[in-house]
This record gives sequence, structure tokens and C-alpha cells, in this order.
Amino acid sequence: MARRQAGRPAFLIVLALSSLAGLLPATGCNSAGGSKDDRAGTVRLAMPADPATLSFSRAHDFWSLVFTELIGDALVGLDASLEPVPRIATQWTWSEDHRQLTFELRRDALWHDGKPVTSADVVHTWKVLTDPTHGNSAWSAAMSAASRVSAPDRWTVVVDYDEPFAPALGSWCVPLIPAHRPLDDPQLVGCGPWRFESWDRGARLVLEANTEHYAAPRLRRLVFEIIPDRTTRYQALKTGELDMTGLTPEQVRTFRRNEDLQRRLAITQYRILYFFFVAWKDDGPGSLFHDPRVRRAMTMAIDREELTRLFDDLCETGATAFHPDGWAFDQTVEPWPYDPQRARTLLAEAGWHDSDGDGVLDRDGKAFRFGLMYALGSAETERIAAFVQQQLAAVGAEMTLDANEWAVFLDRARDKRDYDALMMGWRLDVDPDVYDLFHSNQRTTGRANYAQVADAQIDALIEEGRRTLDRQARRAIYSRLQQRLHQIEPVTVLFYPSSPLAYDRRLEGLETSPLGPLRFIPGAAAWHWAADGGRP
Amino acid sequence: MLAYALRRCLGALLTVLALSFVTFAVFAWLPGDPLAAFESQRRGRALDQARRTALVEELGLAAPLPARYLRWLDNALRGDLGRSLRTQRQVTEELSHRLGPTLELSIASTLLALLASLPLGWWLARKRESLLDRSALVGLVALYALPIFWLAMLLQALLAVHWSVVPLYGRLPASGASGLGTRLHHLALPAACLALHQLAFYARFARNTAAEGLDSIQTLFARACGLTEARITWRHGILPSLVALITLAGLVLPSLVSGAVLIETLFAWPGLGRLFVVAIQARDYPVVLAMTVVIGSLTVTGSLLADLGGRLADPRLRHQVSER
Repeated sequence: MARRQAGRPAFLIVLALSSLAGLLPATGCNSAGGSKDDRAGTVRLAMPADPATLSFSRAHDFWSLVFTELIGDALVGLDASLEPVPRIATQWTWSEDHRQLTFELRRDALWHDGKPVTSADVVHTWKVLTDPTHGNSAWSAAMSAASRVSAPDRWTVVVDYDEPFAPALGSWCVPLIPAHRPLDDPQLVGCGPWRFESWDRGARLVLEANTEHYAAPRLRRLVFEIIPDRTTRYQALKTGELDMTGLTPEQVRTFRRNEDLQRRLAITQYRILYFFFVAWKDDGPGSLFHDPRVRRAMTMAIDREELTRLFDDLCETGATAFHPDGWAFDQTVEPWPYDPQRARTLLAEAGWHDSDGDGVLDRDGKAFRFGLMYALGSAETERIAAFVQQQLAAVGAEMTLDANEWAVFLDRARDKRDYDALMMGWRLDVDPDVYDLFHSNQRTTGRANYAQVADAQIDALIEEGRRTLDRQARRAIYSRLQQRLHQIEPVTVLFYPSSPLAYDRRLEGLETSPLGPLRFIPGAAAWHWAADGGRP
Repeated sequence: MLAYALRRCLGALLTVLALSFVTFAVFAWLPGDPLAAFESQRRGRALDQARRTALVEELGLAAPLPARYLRWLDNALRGDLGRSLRTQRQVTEELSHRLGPTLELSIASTLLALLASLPLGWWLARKRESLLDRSALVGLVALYALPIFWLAMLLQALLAVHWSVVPLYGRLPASGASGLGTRLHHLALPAACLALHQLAFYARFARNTAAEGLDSIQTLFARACGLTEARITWRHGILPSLVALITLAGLVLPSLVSGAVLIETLFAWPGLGRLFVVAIQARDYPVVLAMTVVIGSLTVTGSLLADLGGRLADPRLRHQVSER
């Protein structure tokens, strides 16, 4: 529930690899157009489509969030390892009962129109985002966690919570909305390190550095070229029209064979906050996947290492829904090994035998048959589904492929729970809280507990984790939670994808985080061209 | 003729109305949530009840389908096509922003294609049934059958990446230059790719209609009367094929604004075709509906114009009408 509510069950369409490679991470680039002077100090990136909006109060798609975060600024930022760092708030303190959070604001933060950023703006931001009649923003849900936000003086903000809520801090990464400007302000006045310069819809969006910012960028300008096609983006990187772009696995292969390109461009890779999994629906004692041994057998029957090789190792296997780069990750919890023999034994222990010799297991006259539901969208998803089908057939489980258009998928998955097992990708939050995915409260319609997990131990650990503000104590709780999740295996983690990013070697200061190259502190503010000449 | 024209206009109007209703109804009856445009952007996270209620209220989704359609129609007739669900901007604003680039590309490519294909077609008609004509026809069929995106990617790789003679993508450079030369430079490759595809079609069309005229008994008679070959070619070959071209207006007119999705995507051209694709993916039905109605109306208008224009230009067709 922390920051970035946007990222929920991911969009399978985007099956990570390819799209992430191409779509999510930004790309950058430099102009083939402009004069030499113009180009120095500019980085050109690419994005596949226009952001839906640049409005602070309505941003909800990926690129809208990226731009509102660049143009805007927040009380708290996240560094490359996703740890909170001070931004407009110079410091924050929790009350003893952990229900009140107090922020001290810096005095030198200014809106782009020169007015100071004060506590009134923070209160205004909270009010706008929690008002249901005002459209919807990806931040709305996170903002609603606070019961009251007040401003005792110009530079202090006090936030009250009904109960201790550890993920709360992350929600203050929300870009602030100026109280002195109209909502949906066409001027797009923010207080961030980048100012809005121009947006030619369908073509490009340009930001210029805000030199008045307390942490001003080193570059002068960021140009986002809107290039929907992945091949064109890659070609533009080759011609030097872009300085940076995400690559598909196939493009990584051709890149690695091209020595000329490698002299000019470098490649980096980062694991995104996303994972791909199969949820085994457990509706209670009668259901196929009620027995944890059966679910574990399913996991052990699927060779996940082989799956990652299918994608050129641009992804990694994992044990649970805890991201390998997160602070709460417990590396002692290892994925179940690929062991079809052991899978068969587990299934036999659960009562499944092939008594009629037809190659499909059965129990009490009922065959082990089920459908795997997923959303249509990419060839990769189809490939993974077919792979899982083939692997499960080898242990005697007959799985049919149940592909659906996205809206139908959502309707059946989330609203009707009309599936046996479901495969999808999920965008994780920055905070490791897994309430949405595994708390028994989230089994209801519209919620995201797709495996229908109802486990008292898991519920208790999730709740305790949310209440615990101390990092060490919280980590210990999540360690126990990972062990429990691993033990009952409500979902099989297929992989955590990585996103490859190619960029001009002369660009310095480029780092990546699980949120990509832009959405962390310092992000693009640290980029600069090498002293010996910058652009070609 | 006047009665016929009126009858055709009325028919066209009814067709457009029916088209808009069917599109409207299809979107209403599609499985899934009508607020999916908001949901998919939220990566599948359900909207909370208060927000859902507010949105249903704002979008007027609670009313029954016929009432919603009538309200949409009423607004549309007054020039208000609603707001895009994805961007919250007026649909008319979204469309008009993209119309210019699309017209630029489609008009340029159609002109290019016609300028190149008609003379080629007429020349082939004069050489009809020769080895040259036959091999050219095979070549044209092959060109027409080539996937346009493949052709475009090949030309991009050669002309933009390898030889750097044209820009790889985009309509205007980031430098802000927007002179005629810059525009034409950016337009050249995408327009040529589209034109190559159309060229194969038009050239065959021109060749066949001209050949038909040149093979007719009238040509034989003209030749017997001692008319010059040039005059014969003009009167019995070129002229009839130009008249026949009018009937193609029904195809050309809608394609001018529907946008070439593949080419626009490949060349990052900010046209209507791409807007349409993004709108469909986001289930942004006000935009899809508006585009469908606009393209549908142009198709109907195009075929109407082709029909009436053909009759005006070609006495034989008029004659058929009066006989009927």
C-alpha cells in the first residue's frame, strides 16, 4: 500500500521481458536534429505512447506517473535501493504510539512560479487526492490511509493514522499539488527538478532543468521522443537519434554481436518491481489445489530455470512474492527445486494416482484436469503457458489453456473468481507489504488474493508487519512470512524479469533502480555528458 | 438524376446512423467492466466504491442504452463528441490535433502514388500482353503482396540507418526547425512507403481500364478513321481510365483520414491511426466511437461521391439509371 499504488497485478500484456525492455524503462537519446550547442546538455529518451495526462491530481498510468514525479517533488524520495530519503521534508518523526507522523519542511523549496512550498500545499494535496469526486489518481488509495493531515505552522505537517501503518511513509512520495494554482492547471506548475517545456502529442515531450531547484539537474533538457515501435527505437539508438532505450531480449542478442555499437553504447540491466506467477485457487476442501502438497508438486514439476533460459536469462526464478532487491527479502528461503519425481510422490501422497493408465492422474474417479487462465496479449505469455502445460503433463496433470481478452480476464479473475489456476504478472509496491495478494480479507470480489489464501498465520504476520515501524523487527516478521508462504506455496513464482537498457557511453551519472533509470533520487538529475565533449 | 441523388443521400445518412448505433451498442455489450479504461491503467486494481459511483455518475453510465445513445447523438450533432476516458480531453480536440499529420501523410502518399502509377499503367496498357507488360504485372502483384511494414523496415534500415539520407522517424525534428524543407525531408520516407503500396494497386487499375478501352471496337473504328495513335490513346485509353478512377474515391477518401496504422507506428508519425490503436487498447470508447463514425461517414460519402461523380462524368452510367 505504500507508494505507487499504480502497480498492481500487472498487465500481463506486458509480459515483462519484451515490453519492459521496450516500454517501461525509459529510453533516452540525443538529437540528430538540433545544432551542436543545442544537443550538449540534452538527453533524448524514448517512450512508446503519450502519457494520458500530466495532471498531478489525475495521473494514473505509468508515463503520467513518471512525468508528474519529474515535474513535481515530494516530501520523501526513494534512493536507488528504494530506501526513503529526505526531499521537501528534511526530517520526519513518528509519535510513540506510531499513529502520528510529523514532517519538517525545508524552507528553500519553490514552485516553478516562484512561490514557496509550504505545509498548506501538503494538506491541499491530501484533500484533492482523497476526494472521490475528483477523478482518480494512482496515489488516491495510498493517501486514504491517513485519517487527518494538518499544518500547525507553515513548515510543519502532521499526519494522523487510525492505527500504526508501516507502509505509510512511502505514500508521501506523492508529487505535491500547489494550493495556489487551479486543479488541472494548464501551466503545469510543479516544484520538482524539471519544468514542463512542451508536449507535441504523439511526437515528443520536453522538460527543461529547473535551475532554481535545491537539487538542480546537471543537464539542461530531457527530450522524450514518442516512438511506439521497438525496432524503430533500437534503430534510433544506432543512428544516435536516441541516447538511451530499453531493449528486447532479441535486440540484446544482436547488440552483443555488434562490436561497433558496443564501442559507442553500454548496456545495463535492472530487475523491475514485477513478478510473473501462477496462483492456484484454493476454494476450500473440495478444490483441486486445496492440499499444499499438490501446490508444491505443481511448483516442483515446472522447470523454472529452463524457463528463464527461454528468455535469455533476462529473468530470474524466485521463491515468494518478496522482491530479491527489497530490504525484506530473505535469501535463505530458496525456490523449490525442479524435481518431477518428487512432484509425483507428493501428488501420490495427496491421493492422486493414474489408476486407469491413461496418463492422467485421478482420485475417487475424478481426473486431475484444470484450466490455466491468462490474458491474451503477448507471444511470450502464450509461450510460457504452453511450457507450463507441457511440464505439468509430464507428471500426469492435464492442463488446458484458457486465454482471455484483458477485460474478460479481469472480470473473471478479479470479480467472478471463475478459474482453476491463473497466470499473470504483478507490479509490486516499493513497500514489501503483501496484504493485497495474500490476506484473507482480500478474497472478496474486486480484491487481489487470486489464490484465495486463507491462512491464520499469514494473516497475523501480514498485520504485524504493517504495524511494525522498526525496520529490523519488520524484517524478521517478513522473514517468517516468506517461510510460511514457501511452505504452503499458494502461488508458484515463475520469474522476476530484468529490463536491459542501452545508453551512450559518454553519458555519466546513470544509475538504475528497480523503478528504472528515472523514478528515484537522484535519477536523471545526476546525468551529465562526459567532460571531453558531451555529444558527438 | 436528382431523385436518385436524394435517395442515395438519405440512404447514406441512415447507414451512418446505424453504424454509430451498432458501434455504441458493441461497446456497451462488450464483456468486462465499462470502467475498464480506468482499471487497466490501474493495472487491474479495482476502483473503490466511492470513486466508481462518482465515475458512473460523471459518465452517465447508469441510464439505459437507448437513452445514452440518444444523448450521445444529440451532443454529437452539436459537435460535442464527449471526453476521452484516457486523457480527459475533448475528443474533438484529440482528433483535430492528429488530423493534420495524417492528412499530410495520406495526401502526399496518394499524390505520389497517382503521379507514378498512372503513367506507368498507361504505358503498360500500350504495351499490353507483351513480355514487358506481363512481367511488370507480376512485379506489381508482388509489390502489392509485400507486407508494408516489412518494406518500410527495410527502407528504414537502408535509407535512414545505413545511408542516413532521410530521418528515421518523426514528423519534425527536436531542434524545433519546421521549414518546408525539413517537413518534406521527414515526410519523404513514410510517404514513399505508403505510396509504393498504393502504386501497385493504382498502376494495375490504370493499366486494365486503359487496356480495356484500347481493345474496344471504338478504338478499332478510330484507327480505321485514321486518328493518330496519340489521340487514340488519349481518347480511348487515358480518358476512360481517369473516369474510372472517380469510382475509386470511395476507397481513397476514408483512407485519407483513417491513418496508416502500421506506417504511423513504425515512423512514430503522430497521426490518427495511432490514436485509434491506443484508444482501442485503453477501451477509450468515446474516441473509438468518434473515429468509427468519422471514418464510416467518409466511406459512405466517398462511395456516394464516386457514384454521383461517375454518373456525371460517364454518360453510359446515366443511361443505365434512366433505363431503370
